[in-house]
Amino acid sequence: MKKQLFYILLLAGMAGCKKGFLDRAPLAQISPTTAFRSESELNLYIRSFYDRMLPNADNDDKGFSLYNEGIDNIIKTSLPVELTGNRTVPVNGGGWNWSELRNVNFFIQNHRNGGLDESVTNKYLAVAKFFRAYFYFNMVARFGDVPWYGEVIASNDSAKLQKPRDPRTLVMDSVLADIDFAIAHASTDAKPDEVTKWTALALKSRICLFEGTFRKYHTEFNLPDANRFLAECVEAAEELIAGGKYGIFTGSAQPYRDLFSTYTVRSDEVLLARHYSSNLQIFHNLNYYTLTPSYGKPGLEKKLVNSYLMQDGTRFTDKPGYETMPFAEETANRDPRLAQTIRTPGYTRIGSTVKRVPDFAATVTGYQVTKYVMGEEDDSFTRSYNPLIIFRYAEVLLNLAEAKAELGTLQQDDIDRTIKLLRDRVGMPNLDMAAANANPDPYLAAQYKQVNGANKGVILEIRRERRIELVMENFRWNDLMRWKEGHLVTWPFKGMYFPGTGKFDLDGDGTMDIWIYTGDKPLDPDYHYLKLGSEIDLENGVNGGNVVINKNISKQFNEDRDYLYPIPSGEIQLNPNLTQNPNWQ
Amino acid sequence: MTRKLTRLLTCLCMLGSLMFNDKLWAQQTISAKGVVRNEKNEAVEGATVTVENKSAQFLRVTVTDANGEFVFYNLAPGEPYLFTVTHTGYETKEMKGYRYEPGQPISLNITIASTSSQLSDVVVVGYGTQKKANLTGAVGQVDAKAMRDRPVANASQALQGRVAGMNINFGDGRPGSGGNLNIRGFGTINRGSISTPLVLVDGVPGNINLINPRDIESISVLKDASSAAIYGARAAFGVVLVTTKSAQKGKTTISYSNNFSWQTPTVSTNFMTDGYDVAMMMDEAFTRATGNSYTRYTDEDYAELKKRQTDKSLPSVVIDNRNGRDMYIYYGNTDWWHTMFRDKMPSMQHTISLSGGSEKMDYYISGRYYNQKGMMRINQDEYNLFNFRAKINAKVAPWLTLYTNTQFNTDRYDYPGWGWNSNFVSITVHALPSYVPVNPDGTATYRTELNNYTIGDGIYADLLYGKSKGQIANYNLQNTIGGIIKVTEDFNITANYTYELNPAGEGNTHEWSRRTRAPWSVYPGIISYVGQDRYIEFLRLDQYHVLNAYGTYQKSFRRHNVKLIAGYNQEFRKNKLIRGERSDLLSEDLNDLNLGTGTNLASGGATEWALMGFFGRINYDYKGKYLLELNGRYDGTSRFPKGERFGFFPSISAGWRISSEKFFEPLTGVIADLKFRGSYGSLGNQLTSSPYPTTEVMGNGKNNWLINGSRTQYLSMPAPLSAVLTWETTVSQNVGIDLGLFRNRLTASFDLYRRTTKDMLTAGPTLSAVFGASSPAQNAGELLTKGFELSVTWQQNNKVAGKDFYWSIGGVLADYTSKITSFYNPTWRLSDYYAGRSVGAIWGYITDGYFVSDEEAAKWPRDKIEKSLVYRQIRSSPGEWNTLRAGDLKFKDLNGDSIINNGANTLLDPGDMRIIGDSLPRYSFGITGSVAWNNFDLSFFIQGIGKKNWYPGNNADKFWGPYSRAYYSFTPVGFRDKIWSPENPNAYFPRLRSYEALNDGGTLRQPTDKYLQDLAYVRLKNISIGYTLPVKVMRRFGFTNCRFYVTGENLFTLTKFETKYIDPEMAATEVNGRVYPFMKSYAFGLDLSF
Repeated sequence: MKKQLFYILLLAGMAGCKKGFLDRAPLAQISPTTAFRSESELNLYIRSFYDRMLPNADNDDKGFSLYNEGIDNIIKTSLPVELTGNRTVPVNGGGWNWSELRNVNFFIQNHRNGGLDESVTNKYLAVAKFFRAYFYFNMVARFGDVPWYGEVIASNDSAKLQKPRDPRTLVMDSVLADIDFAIAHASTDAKPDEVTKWTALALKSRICLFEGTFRKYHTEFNLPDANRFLAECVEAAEELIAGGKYGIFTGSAQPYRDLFSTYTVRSDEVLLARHYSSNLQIFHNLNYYTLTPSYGKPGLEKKLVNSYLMQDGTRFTDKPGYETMPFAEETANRDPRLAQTIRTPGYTRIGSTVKRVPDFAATVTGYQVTKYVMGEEDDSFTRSYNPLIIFRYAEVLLNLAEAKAELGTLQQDDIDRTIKLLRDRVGMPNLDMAAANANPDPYLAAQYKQVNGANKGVILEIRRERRIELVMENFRWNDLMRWKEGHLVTWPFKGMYFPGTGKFDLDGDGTMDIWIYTGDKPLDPDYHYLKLGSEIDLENGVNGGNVVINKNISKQFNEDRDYLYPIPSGEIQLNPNLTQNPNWQ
Repeated sequence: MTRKLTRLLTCLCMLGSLMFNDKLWAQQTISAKGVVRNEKNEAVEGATVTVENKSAQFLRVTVTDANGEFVFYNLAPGEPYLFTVTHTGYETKEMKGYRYEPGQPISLNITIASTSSQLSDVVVVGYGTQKKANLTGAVGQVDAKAMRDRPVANASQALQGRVAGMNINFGDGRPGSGGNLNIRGFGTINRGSISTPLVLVDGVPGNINLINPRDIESISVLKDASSAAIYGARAAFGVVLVTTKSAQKGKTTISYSNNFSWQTPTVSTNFMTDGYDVAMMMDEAFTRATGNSYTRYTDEDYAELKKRQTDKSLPSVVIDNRNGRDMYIYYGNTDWWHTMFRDKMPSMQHTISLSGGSEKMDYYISGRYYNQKGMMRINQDEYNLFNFRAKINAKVAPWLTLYTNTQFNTDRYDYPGWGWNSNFVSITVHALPSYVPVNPDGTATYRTELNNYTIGDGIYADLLYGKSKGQIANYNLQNTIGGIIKVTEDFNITANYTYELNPAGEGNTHEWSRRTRAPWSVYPGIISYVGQDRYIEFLRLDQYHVLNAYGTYQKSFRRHNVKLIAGYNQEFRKNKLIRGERSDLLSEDLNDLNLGTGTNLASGGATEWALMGFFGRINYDYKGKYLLELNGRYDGTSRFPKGERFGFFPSISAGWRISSEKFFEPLTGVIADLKFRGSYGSLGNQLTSSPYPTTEVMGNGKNNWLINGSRTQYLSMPAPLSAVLTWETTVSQNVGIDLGLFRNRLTASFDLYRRTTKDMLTAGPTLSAVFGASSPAQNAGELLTKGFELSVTWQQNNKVAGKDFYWSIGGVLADYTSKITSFYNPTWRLSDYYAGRSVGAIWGYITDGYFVSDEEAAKWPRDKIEKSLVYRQIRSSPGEWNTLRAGDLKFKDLNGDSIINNGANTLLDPGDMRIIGDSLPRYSFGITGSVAWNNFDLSFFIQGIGKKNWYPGNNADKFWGPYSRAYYSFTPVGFRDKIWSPENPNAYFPRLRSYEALNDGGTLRQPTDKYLQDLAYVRLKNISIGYTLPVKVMRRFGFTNCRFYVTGENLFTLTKFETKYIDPEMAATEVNGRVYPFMKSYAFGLDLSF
């Protein structure tokens, strides 16, 4: 028995050492070698682009967030370094992030490995190319020249890893080729949560307007073809308009407000939006952001508020004494978009009839933002779930009008099918091109110093319209950059006007709302107290003036340097062939 | 409680008497008695004594007690009896020819000799045992005594500080929380492992945190390459061998023990509860950072709060009309900590074991129940653990023994709220004392309408509603069957196979969590809801197969002793996970996926891996004087591709017992034993973060981009992989001395080691960002760890008042340093490893006190302050607060540019940073002592570390208070006195400003010398006092052992740590100290054997 058992053990042992015991392949993940064999896999892959590549709700306050705008539109207690002259060359990061491009390029390079026919795959390739165009557009806008990579880089491909920057002209032509492919092949259905031909056209108009105006105004870079890009912008916008799928939302009493303050996306105007869901616990923080002191107390800047026209179409800044008007008076009879963007007298929260005045504890300028704000039930920390818009039809109309104006081909007829639609929505009179050109607004002309020529007046008006219509939607930084008007960020940021210390009735209802005081706090419970010098600053202290914000922060913009971002120094160390942008050390 | 205990005791006594009533009621005549002692004249406990009459086929077995005494009753008169005494580590002693005459009991005084004349112990080593005297590697050992009297949930709690060089730390103090083991410190920067040792329970990979500590007979810690090399690819960071108790042959012995303990946090829970004071402080801090108050209390509100400082009869909630609505305004003085948590929690454990058998068959069966109540006040959390083990050996033929070893362990932790640790994090914000838990109408509070913040993130409202809860559970079943074939007298073959279901350690077997919507209100009569209704459940099926087969050959040729082992091992593990999630359930009280009506999410996952290895060992010694050992293992793993997957790991060690040399003889009176030993060898590490480190797989998941209102599933690019990946290896060298002085009263061991970790599996050299992915893992970098270990024990037996007085004191001390010796970092970035970096180095700024006046502060050039990293937070403050003021922290401008920053953050240009500390623990020590006299015994155990730097995390609420967030719920009492003011210019903290410790540009955020902590501590881990009933009394009740004891855990701590609100051990593992607190406990218990 002993011997037999021994043999059995030996046999069992040998059987145990079976071949392939150590060959173990993944059980729950697929390998690239077996991927892309079905259309549904292609569809699954392109979904990896959306969440990561499209702007998010709260990220940063420059290009890549949906409501958290700063710059000179919405002012907060602290300022981004872009405005304070404290910009430094980062060691790494600084927007020089390429992982999403790798993800897109992996798809473009491998999507036909499964042997599917182009007739099936092109629709998905179109989406990938849309995202590559979107990626490179953002890179070029930020850094200027960047290396173009059309494929996945291997970890040992030192030639690619050490590649110098490609000229902006080459990169932008590649971007155009990508977006044209997307337009030609993407789905023609209108869906507010997927990239379609229409989204691609909207992106193309945005990219080409940016590039066309950038090349036109930034003569220091000697870039050709400004007009070609402007013409491409016009063409894309015209094609989108001709498609007839979209219009301007007008279906409520406060249509501008309700375009944003809605749980159901207005898909007649919105081409693409980021959706949120209470059910799925996917929220953003908008209500909280505008109502608590925790996020810098955002408020509209005074110059922007001043640029809203009167309801009759005349300029507020032409009115005598406009600079020292109390809040109730200055907000009366203005472009209705003002009252649908900030708290003005008579403001009530959605779902409430209680009138609210601006809360200085939640807004530094006094012009408290209400755009996108929903009812009180969403007021808690990250409890907002109304959709946030990424592309909407109004922008395309504005792009079209501006591109034509810059090209010199704008006619009143073009304004009638673009700006007029936006004005009609809120019951504002149309823009008269001839009148505007005959009498350019001196208030705007002082700000936009680069605008000249026969269309100066109408270009200024289009810029006014664009700033008002698209405020808080994060267009401002790129607009200032392409217009070469960076100096605007260094202008002092101001808020409401107060003649001095004392009690003030903000909404003109006869009861005092706030009390700006010095010295000891008065003992009377019915006011919101603001201590001069710490809780509120006025331009001339006890002698009144506009609310000043960031009083002690000096602002700077280096015209010779700051239109492009620096390339991280660590990246230049890793790839000495990368050259730094001008005047960055 | 006491009544329960009395009842239990009564029951147990009755049970005992029923089972052994023959002893109690029948006539008991002592026929033979005796005492067993060793050469040192010490009583030997647990020696097996058999009395035998072969011709009458009579055999009886007993075991000596703590005094070495044994007794036999009712032997047949006459007959020549043979007495045999056996005990591990001693030579078997036989005494023939005793005859028993009634009335004249046989009296024996037996001395047994250690198998080795000096160091007698046998130590468990890989696939066998070794005489301690013959050890040539670095092996530490702990015996069952370390587990005794410890009212602990798991063995790792009892092991901490016991073995020099074995570090154990705990992530939190949650009931049942297991320790993380580490041997000889920081081992690798490998992303997939944290230098954890291989733990084997009875030869099979297992988890020390889940087994019954009372089952443990011994624990061997294999520290160097030579002792661990037989485990090859998984032994790079040491091996821990846990051996469970085996059967005591002879009559069935039943042992029962229990303890009952009361636990209380080791940290202070005495927080500020004055609504007015805290609100004032928070508002002051917040206003300076943001320009307005946090609470938004008006002066009138403050006046109300002020009144309530003295007049407690005033209501803490009033209804007032604000912004046009009636709402609750809170003026409380709430002690939120004690509203949330308890200060005293009971725990208990009961263990029972049965052991016995004959020459042919023996068994050991044990069970344990451990219960610990947690500190959540509402819906108290609770931990339950059951252990079961059955070991049976059968000698089916003279040449064949079969055995089976089964263990079943199951534990379960039930908690209320959103997650057992998240309860401790959520409640730390916005629950100021001025807010109250419950409105006058009984509804919970959540949001305060004055400032829109949410009290404790709503956790209290949720707990009060009581429907959100969860459970984590493990069901671990393991069975080993095996046999030992005695081929010849010198040659054995052992083979076994183990099947394990759901090994513990890599995730729980079963988890579920439920959230419901909880009601709250702030407008009287209007109920709102916080949260969502959701149920999530995980189920894991994890199967593990282990096969071992090895032969052992042992032979002595005159004075040459040889021992050979060769064998084969293979392991296979397959893990499967299922996760389901439903929302909007039909019931708030029932918890099952079936009840969901909303979202329907399911996901899974599966992995498998396999290992195989051939191993061998040769031991040779000449007269036990010259010792040599060779180990080797050839290991293969499924993690690496063909061609790279096998590795060979050899080691060599040698020893010289100089005390056995002739020339040493004159010294043996003082130096009884002296051995030098040394080892050298290499080991592997195959642990990678994924079991498929060389197979590209597509990323997948669900993202938050909604299409048609649903989350979307996606596929994405695979993470790039390195073309070639193979073992990480460690090369270690060890030299050691074992010493026995003064007739082995003093024994000591000292080890010195050096471990080089090569080809560390880690992220490769940084690639240009255009690569678009993190650099693929590769074998890169080299690390050197150096250290020493010392353990010393003095034990002695004296006579005090005519009784034996036994005492011993011992200690272990260990230290190590780890340094990166090679890492590709050509630009010497401090954000990455670089050659020469001490692994624990903390870079930080040097402070220079506070600005004494605003004038002094104003002297610092403004444009330089703008660029200073550390003043960025102050610069973003509003109005008058955005300039440096008296009381703000001053920094030393080390590089003379007046800008306090980190320069290029490279080694060549670190700006004003310097290395200010080391985060690795230094000088870990443990001190054990015990005394036994006249049936009383006392033992204590002290543990600590000598130095460890730590910089409080930016959310370390109980350290920073309002300096981090001016809305932390728990501010230590007396915090005000630590805040700078013109009257208190030498305060610990600077001028009060919020967010300074939270945000990157804050003065307190970056490590500074001033706030760097030293977590050195000395802790009385355990002290126990016991009393054993005298043998005579015990016999009357039929007990062979009966001992009562009281014990305390973590009773006393000395530390240099600035705050007593965070445990120094806890801070070491969680940078913010926001975890379930550690506990101290007081317990009493009972040990019974019969």
